[in-house]
Amino acid sequence: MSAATTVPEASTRFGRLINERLAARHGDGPSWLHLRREAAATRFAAIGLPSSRDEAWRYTPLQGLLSREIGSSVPDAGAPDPAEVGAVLLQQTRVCRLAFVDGRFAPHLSRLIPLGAGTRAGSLREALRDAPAETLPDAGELHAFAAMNTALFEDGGRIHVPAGHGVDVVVELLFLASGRGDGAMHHPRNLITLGAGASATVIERYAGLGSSQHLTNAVTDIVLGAGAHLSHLRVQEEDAGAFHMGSVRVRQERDSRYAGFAASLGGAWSRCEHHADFAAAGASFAVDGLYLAGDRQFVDHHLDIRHAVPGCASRETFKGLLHGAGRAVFDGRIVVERDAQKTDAALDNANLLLSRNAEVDTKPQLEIWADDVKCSHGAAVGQIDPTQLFYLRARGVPEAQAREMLCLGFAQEVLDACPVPELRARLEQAVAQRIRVPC
Amino acid sequence: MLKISDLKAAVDGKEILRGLDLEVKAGEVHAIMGPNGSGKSTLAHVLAGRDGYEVTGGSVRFDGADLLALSPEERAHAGVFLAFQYPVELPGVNNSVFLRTALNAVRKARGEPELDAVSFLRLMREKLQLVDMREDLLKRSVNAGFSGGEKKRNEIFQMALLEPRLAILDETDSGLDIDALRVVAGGVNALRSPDRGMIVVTHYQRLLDYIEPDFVHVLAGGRLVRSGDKSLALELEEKGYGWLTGEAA
Ligand SMILES: Nc1ncnc2c1ncn2[C@@H]1O[C@H](COP(=O)(O)OP(=O)(O)O)[C@@H](O)[C@H]1O
Ligand SMILES: [Mg+2]
Repeated sequence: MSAATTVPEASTRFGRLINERLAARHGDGPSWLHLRREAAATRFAAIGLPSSRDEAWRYTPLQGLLSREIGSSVPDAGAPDPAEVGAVLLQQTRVCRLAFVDGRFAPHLSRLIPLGAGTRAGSLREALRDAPAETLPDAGELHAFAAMNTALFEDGGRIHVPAGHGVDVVVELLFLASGRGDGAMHHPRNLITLGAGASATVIERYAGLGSSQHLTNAVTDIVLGAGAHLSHLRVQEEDAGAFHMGSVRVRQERDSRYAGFAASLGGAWSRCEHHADFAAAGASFAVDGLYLAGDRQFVDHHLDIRHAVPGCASRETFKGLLHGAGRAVFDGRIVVERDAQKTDAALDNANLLLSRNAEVDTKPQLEIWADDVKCSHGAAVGQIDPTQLFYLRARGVPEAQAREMLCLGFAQEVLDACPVPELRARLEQAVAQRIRVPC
Repeated sequence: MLKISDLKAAVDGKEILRGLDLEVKAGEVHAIMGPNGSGKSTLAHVLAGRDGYEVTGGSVRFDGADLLALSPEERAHAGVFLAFQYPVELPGVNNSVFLRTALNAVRKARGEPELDAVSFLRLMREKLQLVDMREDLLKRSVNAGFSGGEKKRNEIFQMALLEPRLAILDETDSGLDIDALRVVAGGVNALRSPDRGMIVVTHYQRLLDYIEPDFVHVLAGGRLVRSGDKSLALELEEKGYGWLTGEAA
């Protein structure tokens, strides 16, 4: 089979793949889920892959993804041994880890520790086996990738914290791509629900063990009960050849708090979306994000924050560090509907370009239909400040090192928001390493 | 130690320094005074090697070498220190990491071993006292959100750590209240030494009550138009700059 190159051709090819795989999985899981999957396949066929004519995808080139035979192979399930994975794992943090390799739950790489009465952290596939249909939120699939995920998802993390309960260990959902064989695609699906007043810290991390050209197409649904508090850290450090599509969909009840952190460092092509929706007043949503792109890298962050009810707050601060011929897109959209009075929304994106060839399209947007609100947005694209550089050099710091310090300083403001110290330190190191590569 | 001869420098094609001569010997403190916009900061920046200040003539020798041929960091390694009129904020760059990086870069250039974390901390604590600076400022980003006084203290604190051969203080007194001024001046005085030269740039005579200069020079029209001892500063205080710059007093 030759690789498709146009969007309609690729849509047809993926549509066929979805139908084949779906047919092969008949009888796997509850019947409502199969119906849901079939509906998603139908939805995929109806909307097709996005093209540059879709406003939300205008600056997001799909060509690289389409021209490769993604989906043409299924990697053998031979799991990597723990030694191979060692460097990726957090060592000092007390984590309850659910590991997945090429989309499948990997118990031997996981570390399940009891989280207290009623709290669940395990495989979604297992959890859905006897669950009623309402367990899995039906978000009405915004785009073809999300539809494809619903149709084909293999597994992922299912975390539930009952009302009033606080989980004091960090729960980590770790998705590893084995790197065996090009052309694979994985569709991780996560579901995190917190009951009223519950709290938890969840890491969702994507890492690679090789350098394969695969597609990770993840969806994470998050539902926060009244007064619940979730700290959600999404880290994308995939292989250099990887394509990564991730959607985070957050639904918040009254007075709940979502504190997000997002870092996108790896992959050849990656896009991460945060969708937030408030069901009642007093809820707050925040994300601190950092992305890096260098040669042969494209990174894209989309935010879709919808204020339909009054008295909620949202704040997003994203920073991008671009070197070589790196390309980035930041597209943040906050909609404040007519009834959403007393909304407090702030959206900010700053980019540091370290080379002439680096490129960024930034588009923070506010759409406001209520009159009693506090909203702000800003975007900046700049180079290293010569005054700051001179100050460091005047203190004896050599120019190359001074540049490195300023780049790290720029990233540091976001990294400081990462509440898991070991993860923060690892990211600091990863960023420093990347900066040291001649820009 | 420092010999400036017939120095000419331009900013944006506009000539600011027009043949400036100055010699600073080890152990001496020279005050350079002059009205706003007379080129005091330009001189300080030219000596520190800032981009955008074009030297169009003359020479600067520092310990016999051509200072103008050196990069800013090489000048720092050679022992030149500029306390900025407007200290620069470096958000996200931790102050103590910055200080340690700077100190070790300078030590390395001098052929001295890098300081380990413990010796560095001890040294910092000792120097903090000199400028009465709070230790928690070390944990913050460099100058970010510091008050005007804290920024100036941080400059003198850096000077105390780096122990330069030649210190150039650009309007270190501006923005300081009288108590802070006393503290900062006390720090500077503690750093006076027979083998260290200082150039103290100021608009007002006030600072010189606390840091007593050996020589006072007046910069006007791009040159040093008058030199004298500290009584010249008092005369300027009384009469203003007009009688030297040709304008009405
Ligand atoms: N970066 C710059 N760009 C343009 N003009 C400058 C710059 N720096 C200084 N100047 C000009 O050079 C002259 C001298 O300025 P400066 O050296 O700052 O004076 P002082 O420190 O004595 O107040 C002034 O006319 C000022 O406007
Ligand atoms: Mg000045």
